[in-house]
Amino acid sequence: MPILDFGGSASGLRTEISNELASTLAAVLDASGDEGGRYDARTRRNLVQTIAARAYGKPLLELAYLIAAADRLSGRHGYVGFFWGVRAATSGAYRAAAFAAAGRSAAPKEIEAGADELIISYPGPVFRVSYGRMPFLAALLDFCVTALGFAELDDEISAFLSGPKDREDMQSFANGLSRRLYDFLKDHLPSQQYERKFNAMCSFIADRTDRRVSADAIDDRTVLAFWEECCSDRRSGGDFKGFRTVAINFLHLRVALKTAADRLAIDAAAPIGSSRDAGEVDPEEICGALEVVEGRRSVLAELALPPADRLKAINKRESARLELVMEAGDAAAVLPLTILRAECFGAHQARIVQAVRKRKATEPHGAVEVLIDQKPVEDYGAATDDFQELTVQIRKVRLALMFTLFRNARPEAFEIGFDLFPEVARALRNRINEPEADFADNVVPLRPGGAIGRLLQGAVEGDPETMPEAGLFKASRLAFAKVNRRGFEEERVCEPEIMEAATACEPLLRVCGEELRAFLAALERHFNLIPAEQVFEEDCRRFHTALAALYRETA
Amino acid sequence: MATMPLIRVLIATTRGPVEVQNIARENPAVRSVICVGGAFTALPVSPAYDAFVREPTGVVERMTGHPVYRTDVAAPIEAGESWQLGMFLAHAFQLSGVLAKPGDTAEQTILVTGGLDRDLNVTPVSHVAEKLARARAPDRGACMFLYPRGAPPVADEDGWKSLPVEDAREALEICLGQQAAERLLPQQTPSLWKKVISTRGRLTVPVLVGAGFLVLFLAAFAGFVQWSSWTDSRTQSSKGNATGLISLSIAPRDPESGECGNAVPIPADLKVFKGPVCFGRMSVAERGEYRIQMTIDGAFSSYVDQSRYRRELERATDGGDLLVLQIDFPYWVREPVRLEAEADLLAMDGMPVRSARRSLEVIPRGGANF
Amino acid sequence: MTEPKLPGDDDGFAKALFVASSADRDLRLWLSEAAEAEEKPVPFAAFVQCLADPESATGRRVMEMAARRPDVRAALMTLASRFALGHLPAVAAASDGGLTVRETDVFRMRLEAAYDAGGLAYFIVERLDDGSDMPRLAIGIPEAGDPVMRALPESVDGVVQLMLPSDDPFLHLFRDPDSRFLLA
Repeated sequence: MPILDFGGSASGLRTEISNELASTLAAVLDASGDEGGRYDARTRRNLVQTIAARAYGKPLLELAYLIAAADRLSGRHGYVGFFWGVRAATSGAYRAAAFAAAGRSAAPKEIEAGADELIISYPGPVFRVSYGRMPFLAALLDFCVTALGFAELDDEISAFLSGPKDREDMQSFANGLSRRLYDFLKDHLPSQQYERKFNAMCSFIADRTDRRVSADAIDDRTVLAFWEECCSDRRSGGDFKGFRTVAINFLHLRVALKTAADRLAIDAAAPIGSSRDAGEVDPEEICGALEVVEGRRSVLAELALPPADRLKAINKRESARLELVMEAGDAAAVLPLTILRAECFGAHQARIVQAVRKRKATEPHGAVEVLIDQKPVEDYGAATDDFQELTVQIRKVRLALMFTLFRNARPEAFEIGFDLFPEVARALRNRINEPEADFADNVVPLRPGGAIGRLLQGAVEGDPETMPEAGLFKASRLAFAKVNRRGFEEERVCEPEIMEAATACEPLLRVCGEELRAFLAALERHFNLIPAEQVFEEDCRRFHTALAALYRETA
Repeated sequence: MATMPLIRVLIATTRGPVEVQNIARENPAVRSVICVGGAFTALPVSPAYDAFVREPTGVVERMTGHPVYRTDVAAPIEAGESWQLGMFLAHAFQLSGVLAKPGDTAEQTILVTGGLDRDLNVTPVSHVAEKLARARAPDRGACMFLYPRGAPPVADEDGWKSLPVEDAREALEICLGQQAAERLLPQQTPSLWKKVISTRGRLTVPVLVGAGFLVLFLAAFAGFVQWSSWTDSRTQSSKGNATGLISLSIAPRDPESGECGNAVPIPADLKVFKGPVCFGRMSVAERGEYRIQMTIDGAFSSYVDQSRYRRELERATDGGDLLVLQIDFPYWVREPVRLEAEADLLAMDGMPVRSARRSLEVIPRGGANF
Repeated sequence: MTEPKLPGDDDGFAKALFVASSADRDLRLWLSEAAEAEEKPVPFAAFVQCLADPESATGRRVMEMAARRPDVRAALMTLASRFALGHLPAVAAASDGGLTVRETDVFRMRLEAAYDAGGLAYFIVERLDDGSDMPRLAIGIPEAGDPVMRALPESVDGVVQLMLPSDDPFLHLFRDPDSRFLLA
């Protein structure tokens, strides 16, 4: 039987997530607004997380209130006019729409457009929906409409809108919608495979450690041992063939166990004990936890989305190299060898799988066996060097971004400067007389003017030999000249889009740099104990055995 | 018979010259359009072109007598006004039979930029030199670049002779000569009446409205003074004879020149008038409060704004003044239409107590060649 | 006093979070693949934008898809019906064998022949009152068969005019008394 799951790609999970769900979600998220996407990166991420965690219960109640209010506010076009009347679904756009509607003489009395929220006074407690929440609720409604069909949903909404609207009616409508979404996702996003994986990994750890499963029990050795066992006895039933997939699963498991443990610790510390019943899991809480752990994982995706994507801060190869490190987050420093193994042997395994596929098609004997007997193209030394080069590259790009920000007189330029050159922050603080007023430590107030305004001017116009800020600018200019990528052209530096992209890119790149440094430091500690070559040779032997067990018998 | 030399018209744009390829009269029930090379998509500039052609805002209809055209150009023309002078000249050449079509050999090529106001003065436009720089003169025939006088002077360039022009007439004189320009845009008028006619689009409405207001004011004032005696006499009037209450007259339109003649009274026994008509007029001279109305009906009523062909007035008069109502005929209609005039003498409660009606069938066909 | 729980007792939460984060990752991976798929559903926002401005880039894309994809056509029809400015029902048979005018209280649609009768016809929509929005989409719905849609240009004075080839199916529908029309 051919083995297609080699690296945690979507192709290994086609039986789990339906094409319909993926394309529906893609259609909603790809909808275009005025310039670029209709929804910003955060809204897009929240929607995917809400669907993944099935945490739409409370949002649907908010949506019920908002639909009811929007329909009253929006005149002839009703709730559709309110939600989709704005091209880019932003809090500002919805605030403007709410103010415009509420300002009309025929505006309903029970709906008030406050400064930050819509205040809805239907029978029952007053309900508030913030403008900041509306883009997400609009995306959720968009998803419901696209997944369930407008005609059917509109009938349901029309019936809801024509009836009374106290709290129970709102809840009842939200429950009805929730049931329909549940039914849809039941068929399109089944969770059994994920649960099976969770159980298999936890059982393995429990057997191996003979104690309760915890995040701490997951280390590089456990991950490799688990995969080897899966390869040798096939007990996992095909869920765990790719080492890269296994690595990602363990990274997720570790985060899940750690978050659960932290949650228990908080409960135990609470004076009146746990507020939760064992076994009851609130999807909202899961979604909240997911949002925290996904924050760093989504960095690469955000770099590829507007507005950051107007600058090519990271190219495709670099992004692929960073993927697993960013996916690991904090765990990159705990499971550095697992990441390195996935990088080197994951690619090696992918080549073998390709050969297996070809063998099935054209039957050239021997190609698979030859590959199994070979070592990976990239050893640990080369991969580590590549990661280090990437660190240097990210630093260079951040310097170049600093140049763009300096040229646009953006105070964020100093954030980069102080991060990359901490000594300059100290020098500058000594040089100006109002340190507390304008900045302390490395924190830069994001408002031009005052001392920062003078520093920004001094940076561009001053003497690099005598003025630290001008030294920063000089360093940034030299780096900028060496970055030959889209968006880093001298003549475009002052374009508002480029400036906006630079502002968006910088915090994302900073996170990438931090993760990479932590990962490399952990690797260094490892290789100080046992040299990289020695670890690699040993791993070659173990992977050879496991890969042979996996693929030779089908040869 | 010697054929007249053809003139090719190029609208100068910053993207290069755009040839006016064809101009065709179109059904007056639609709007004028500009299309690219015979395509079915009207350019976005079309509504502005329609307003430029059709009276009362437009100037082309005043010259040609026809309100709607479909014009084909070689490439899109952007919004703005710099196409107006060129398009006007193209219409003039089309009317004179000298507009060169694609494939024709033109003796003259004119590259034009300039706006045009209601008085046919050329109005300034931007990027004049740039537009000229984008155009290559043809190898054959005379090549002229016409642009608004007042713009920075433009030197002759690359075969183009640059000529600033003050107004459309001057441009026509340059291209066609004085006589032809005079024929197209007559300058001298023999009488005050002719002058009024020649500027009908601009003057007729304000003059008539002003006169109407004067009449109505006098009528209303007299009606107020005579209020009590009028109310006493209204019951007698209600039993009186309505014949002759309405005086009806029409102003025939000259089928050749398209000009309006003097209004002539229509005898009560005349039921049909053959020939085109500029307007119809009804008047009521008797004392009392009247509601008078005129309508023009016909097959065209189904597709036009009917309010334009229905006018109504409700005022009191003491009999010494006239209540007058006038209505313009749909000059492009060639099928028969019916002019109806009605007058109701009203009681105090607004109910009609005495009515009169006149009707006239007008058959424009065979008259003016519109 | 209850004994404090130890990690591992809260498997339900950890499992749910593992499932959610795995699904989230797979969804994101899927999305990157689905983004390149051609026949994915049209986002609802695109339909709304198409109705608001069918001549916009999105509007043109939706109209083009509606012409070849029945699902897109049906969805656009549904939305257009929901927000129709005018429903023009089937009418009594025309005496001359072809309708040239249809109207509601608010809009009149008419066909006018071009002087050059062979090539094209004009389809005109006029607003009869002052207050209504002007439609941006005209949809002809035959008694049987697929509806035919035509984007209408923006109007500032209550009149829009389209030029159509005289064999355009939209014209055939217009002249057919049994067909209905929507203006949205």
